Amino acid sequence: MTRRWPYITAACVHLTFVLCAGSCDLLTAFSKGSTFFPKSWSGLFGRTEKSIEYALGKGSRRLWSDGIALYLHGAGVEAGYNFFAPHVPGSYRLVLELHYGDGRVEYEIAQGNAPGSALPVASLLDLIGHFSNDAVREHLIRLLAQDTGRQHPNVEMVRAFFGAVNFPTVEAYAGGAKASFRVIRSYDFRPVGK
Amino acid sequence: MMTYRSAKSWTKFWFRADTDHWLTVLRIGIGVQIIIYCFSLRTAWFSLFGSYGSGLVGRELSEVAISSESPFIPRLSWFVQIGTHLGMGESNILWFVWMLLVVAALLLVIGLFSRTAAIVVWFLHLCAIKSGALLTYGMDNFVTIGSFYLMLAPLPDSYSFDHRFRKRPLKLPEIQGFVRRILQLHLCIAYFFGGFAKACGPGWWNGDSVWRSLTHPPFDVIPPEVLMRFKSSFPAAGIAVCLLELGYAVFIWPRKTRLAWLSGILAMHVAIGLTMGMYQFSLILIILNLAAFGPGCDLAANIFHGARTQSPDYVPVTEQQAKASRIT
Repeated sequence: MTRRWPYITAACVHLTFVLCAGSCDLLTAFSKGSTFFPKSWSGLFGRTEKSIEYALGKGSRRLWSDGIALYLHGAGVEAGYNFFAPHVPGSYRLVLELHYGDGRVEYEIAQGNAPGSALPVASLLDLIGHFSNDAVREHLIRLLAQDTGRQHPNVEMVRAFFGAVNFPTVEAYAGGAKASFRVIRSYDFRPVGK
Repeated sequence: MMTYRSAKSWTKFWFRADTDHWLTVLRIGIGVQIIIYCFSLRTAWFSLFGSYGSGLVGRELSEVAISSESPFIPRLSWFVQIGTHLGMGESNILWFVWMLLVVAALLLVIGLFSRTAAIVVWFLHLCAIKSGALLTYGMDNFVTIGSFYLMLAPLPDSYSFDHRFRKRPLKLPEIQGFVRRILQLHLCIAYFFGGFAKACGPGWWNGDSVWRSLTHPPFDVIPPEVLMRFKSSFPAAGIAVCLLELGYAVFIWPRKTRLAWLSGILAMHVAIGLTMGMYQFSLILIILNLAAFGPGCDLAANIFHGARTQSPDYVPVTEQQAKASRIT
C-alpha cells in the first residue's frame, strides 16, 4: 500500500492544479461584475485571483514557474472552464474595405480564406476585442488585413473596421430589431510592397 | 486503527480494480478526434501555422505569447528550425508534421504501437495548438487533456492490435482504475466550475444566454427566425444546462442517477454540436464522458457499498489473473 502513496500524491497535485486554473478563470469572470454577487466583492475576487496566480508562478520568470507553466500547458489545464459563462460575451467582426487602383471598392468580412479557419479567426477576433493595448490590436488587425490583401493582388489600400456585433434580445428581435455593428476602431493599411 | 482504515479506504477509492473498456473508448476516440481535427484544417494548415508574412497572423506571434509563460512549451518552430538545418522548406516541414499527426492518430485507432502513438499525438497536437495559441478555443484544451491522460494511461488495452496480435501484456486492473479515477474527478471539477459560473449570471436563468449563444457568430447555424419559434423553451434550456453541469459532480456517481445524468450531459453536447456547429467540441467531450463514466463503469458498489458488485458489466479480476495476463 505504501508504494501507491506517491501515485495518489501526484494525482492530488495534478487535480490541485486543475482546481487552481479553474478558480482563476472563475474569479476573473466574477471580478468583472454582471453576476449575482455584489459589486463590492469585485476587489476581493481580483485579489484572490492574483494570489492563486502567484502560487502558480504566473508573472515571475524562475525555473520552477517555467516548469509549472510547462506542466499546465502540457496537461491542458492552464485554462478554466467558463465557456459562455457567466454570460455570453459579445462578438466582434472585422470588415475590410478594399480599395483598388481603378476606383473600385469591395467589402469583405475577415473570416480566414481557407475552409476550417472560421472558428480560429473568430477566437482571434474575440481576443483582439479584449486587448486594451491599441498597438497590439492594430498590429493583429494589420496582419489579418494583409492576409486578405494577399488574396487580392490589385488592392491599393485596405481600410479595416473593427467593431462589435450587437444582436438584439429575443423580445427586441420579435419586435423587428436587427443586429447592429458598432465600429470600435478603424485603420488604413497599404499592402506590403505598395 | 481508524487511521489505518481511513488510509485503506482512501487507497481503495483511488485504486479500484477496473476493466480497460474505458481505455479503448479513450484511445479510439482521441484517434478519431485528431483525424477529424487534421482533415478539418487540411486546407488551412499552412495559413494557420505559417510564419510571419505567409500565415494568417504568423505563428511567431503565438509563440512569443507562450514564451512569456515558459520557453519550454513545445511549438512548431522547433520542427521548422530542425528541418531548416536539414535543408527542408517551411511548408514541407509543416505538412510533414500534419502527416505524422494523422499517421499517429491512425495507429491509435487500431491500437498499434499504442504508447508511442499516444505520445506522438500528444506532443504534435500540443505543438500545433501552442503555435496557434491566438487561434485556439476550448476544444483544443480538452483534446490536450484527453491525449495527456491517454499518454499516461496503462496501454495497451485488450482490444488493441498490440495486445491481440503482438501479445503485449495488459496492465494491472488497479492501475486502470487509478487513471480512470483521475479523469472522472477532472471532469467533475470542469463541469462544476462551468455550471457554477453559468449559475451566477442572470442570463442562464432567463434564457437570454441560450438565445445569445445560438445567435453568436460564427455559431449562428440556425436562422434567428427559426429560433424564435422555440423562444419559450430558452429559460428551461438555460436552467437545465446550469443544473446538469452543477449537479454533475454529485449525481454522476450513484448508480441510480448516473445513467440519467450521463445521458443528459451527452444530449447537451449533441445539441451543442448540432445547433452551434461545434461538432469537434461536442465530440471530444462525449469521448471524455464515455471514457470516464460510460459502459463498464461501476462506481456505486465500491463507493457506497464498499463491496464487489453484482452488475453484469463488472469483471472481477483477481491479482492472480492480472499477473497471468502480464506473463502471457
